[in-house]
Amino acid sequence: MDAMGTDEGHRRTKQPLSAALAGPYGHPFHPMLVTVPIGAWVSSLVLDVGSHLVGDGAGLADAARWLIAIGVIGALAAGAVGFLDFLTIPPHTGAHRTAVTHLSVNLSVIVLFAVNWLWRIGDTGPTAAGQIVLSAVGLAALGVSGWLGGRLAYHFGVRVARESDQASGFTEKRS
Amino acid sequence: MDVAALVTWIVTAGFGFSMLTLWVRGGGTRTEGMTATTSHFRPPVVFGHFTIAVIGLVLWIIYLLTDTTALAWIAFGVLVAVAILGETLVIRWARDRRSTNLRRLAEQQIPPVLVGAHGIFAVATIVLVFLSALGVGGS
Repeated sequence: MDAMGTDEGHRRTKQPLSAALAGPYGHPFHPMLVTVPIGAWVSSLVLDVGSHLVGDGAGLADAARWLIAIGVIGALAAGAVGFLDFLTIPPHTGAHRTAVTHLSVNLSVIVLFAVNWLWRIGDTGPTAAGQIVLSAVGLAALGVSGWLGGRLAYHFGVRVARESDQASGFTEKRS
Repeated sequence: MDVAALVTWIVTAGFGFSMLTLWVRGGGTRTEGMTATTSHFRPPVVFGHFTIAVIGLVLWIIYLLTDTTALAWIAFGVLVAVAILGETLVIRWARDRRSTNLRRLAEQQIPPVLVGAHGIFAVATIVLVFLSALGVGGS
């Protein structure tokens, strides 16, 4: 049994560990920051494919490599902030298991894209097929992880405002 | 040299994340209730140490990508700030450790081996970053 009790544990996940770093109550920073790696890596894959469709693909391939690096840096920032939210979840719970998987898959994805970046050093011309496959695998894993992140927020309500605060937005106010 | 610094930095961060977890799980950030103090660490110092270290790591990666010497020195300066904050924490941790009635403090749940490993890798990182900034060993 959880020593602190289910309600108390759940209540605690709604408050930030540090409002300055993880975002104030009801406005977590982690979901805002994850848009950077997701956007950068999705765009890099689009440019990888594009590098085979234009005359000289080297420019697009180079831009794709830049986007991978931007994504890795953004992911580290998002991960650091996400870790603070992770620490609000009581251990030995279903939400904690989901969060551990979410965290582990995300770390693996960062490593995949870091390796992907290293693989591209010194490349000229369009992106190689193997590198495109590696990016696609990374994005697929990121999709799985994003699903788990969505479960943590929308199903378990981690860092989501209390239901009483949610309901306050639906009180009719007529003058 | 600069890649070695990245590796030791990431290892140091790994130990640091474990220490942060033990401190939070031990009740380090709890302020509610009038019960005995759960930590002698001030949260802004802990989170400041954590944040500046992450910013430094990101700067170091950008330095690796762009090979800008100025960034290496900035990263070194950031690391010195991180080390000063870390030093204040470890001094407090070591002092409280001597009295048996403070064993229940959140930070006392962190085992010495973890503190030692974090410290050793941190020192190695600072030395490697300093040498890289000086241009010793090349990239």
